Amino acid sequence: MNEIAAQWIIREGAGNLSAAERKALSQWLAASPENEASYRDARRVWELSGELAQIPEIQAELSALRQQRESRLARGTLWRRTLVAAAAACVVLAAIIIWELRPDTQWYETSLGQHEEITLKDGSTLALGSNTRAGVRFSRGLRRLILERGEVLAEVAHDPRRQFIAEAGPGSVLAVGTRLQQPTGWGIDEALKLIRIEIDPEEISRAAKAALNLMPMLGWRCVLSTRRWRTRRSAHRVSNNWARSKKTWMKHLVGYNRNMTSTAPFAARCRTMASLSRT
Amino acid sequence: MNRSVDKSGPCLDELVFVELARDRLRQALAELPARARHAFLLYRLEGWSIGRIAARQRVSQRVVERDLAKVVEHLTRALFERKARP
Repeated sequence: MNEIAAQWIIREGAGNLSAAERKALSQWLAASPENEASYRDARRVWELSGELAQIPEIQAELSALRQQRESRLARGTLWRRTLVAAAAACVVLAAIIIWELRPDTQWYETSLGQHEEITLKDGSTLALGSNTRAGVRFSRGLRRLILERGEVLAEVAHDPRRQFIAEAGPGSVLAVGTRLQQPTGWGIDEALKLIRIEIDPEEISRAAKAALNLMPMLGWRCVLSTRRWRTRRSAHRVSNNWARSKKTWMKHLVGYNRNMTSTAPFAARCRTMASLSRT
Repeated sequence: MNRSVDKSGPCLDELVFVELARDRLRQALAELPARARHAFLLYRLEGWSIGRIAARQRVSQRVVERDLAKVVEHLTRALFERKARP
């Protein structure tokens, strides 16, 4: 009986009883005079218990509780702040690590008339022509050669896990596979070991990519150059040779060849060509 | 102190009763476990909500409600039943 009365008092103490609750309460009160008596007692206790605030030791206890509350809250915010700070620190740390692990671009530069041979970490060699600026960036899955200006002759070391990508200007050129054996029946002099590709930085085409793809496969060295094309005729000869080679080699190349053998428009549109030059 | 004259404040026996009741309530409250006592003090005197007390004590609201009802029950018994006892 008292228990239920106490529950009602507590619920009332919370303030607003809902209409349903009020109805239930009045029903319960009406159910028996005992109920009503215990409710009245509990009500009285509730009211009188307000007097407890006058007792010094209760006041002390309350202020202790309040203090504790404050410190708990402070601890809570401190904990949260620590979490936030830790998260921020993690982010910063991750950023730093990523930044540190970010593949560095190693730049090589030659002045006018200067030439340089560079051996890269992976064994590839770069021959820098005069007035050249080229960057090399090795990451886990990629080897990247960036030609900013000038001419680079790259002998790409074979590494199937790391593609070699050459970039010159807006496009980028992919070299897959290196050092495949030179196809027979090409009629190309063993001494002809060098292919030169000149790329206009504004207009790198798929064809250029294809050509660069192929060159290392032939065991040749690539030359990336931003210089203008000079010997167009020999380019034709090369492309014809390529056309005569196996069709399965590269479909890109066929397209390249077709474009190449057609006359001016392609050359004007995409000044990307290949030539042979004697080493 | 005349009850019919003085209507503004409590009469003497009321004052005495309140004094007495306060003392009894204090005693009764001291008998209760700390969690329930604290919940009651915060609820009654500080006006905390049950939810807030529950969050503070890291218990469910049901537990706080039960604690509070137990306190009220205990105090009621202390105030009235003991008084009724000779």
